[in-house]
Amino acid sequence: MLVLSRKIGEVITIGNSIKITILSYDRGIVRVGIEAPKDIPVHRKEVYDRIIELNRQATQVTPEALRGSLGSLQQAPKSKETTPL
Amino acid sequence: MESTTPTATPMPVQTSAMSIRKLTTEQFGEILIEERFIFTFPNGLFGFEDLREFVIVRDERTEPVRWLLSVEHPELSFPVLSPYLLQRDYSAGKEYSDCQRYTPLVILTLGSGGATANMKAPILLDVQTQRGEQIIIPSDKYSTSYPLSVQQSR
Repeated sequence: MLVLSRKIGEVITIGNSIKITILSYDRGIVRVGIEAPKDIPVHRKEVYDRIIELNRQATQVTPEALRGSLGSLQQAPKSKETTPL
Repeated sequence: MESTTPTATPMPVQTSAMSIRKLTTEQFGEILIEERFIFTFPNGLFGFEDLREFVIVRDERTEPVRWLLSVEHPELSFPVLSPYLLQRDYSAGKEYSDCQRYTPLVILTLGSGGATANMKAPILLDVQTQRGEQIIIPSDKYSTSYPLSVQQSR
């Protein structure tokens, strides 16, 4: 891992399209500004990890197990907003 | 528009026969799918980046929940639901607001407290291009574990 020391307001560039600015530091919290092209998603890692874990869990769900957990959804009248697929 | 070819080559005959594939799934038995209904996910799903082709499967047992089934690994499927059934004013973002084109779906999981929906990381199906992607909505507006038991309150 490359380790760099930066002061408030200083910038790190990654490639020629990503800029990371250190905005502030207060009581253990660093605020970072990130400029990146739209096609490079930027996420907090714990959110990203949680979504991967939820996707994995979703593959373990069976129709039989799920049908008992749908409650009133199953009697919901078909509305126009249900997916047309 | 095409360069003129010296010899008359017959146009390849476009067979109009539908391309149908048979998938053997664990959950739904053997199913037949039409290739034109396959959605291509260029980036896969988070944690499943190698899965590129999916179809939506209906199962009477779980309607209105449908199943996003991997064509390449038919043993893998994800229960999905229209987020509008949970939150009427749901929005995946301005760029996906064309509802003629984009259909959002949220993935469900089953925990000890019942089923929850991942409202923060919806799947967006583009019915114009038959492509799909899973996105993460950056704002804190939507939960990764929205309980189904509180649905229809709005």
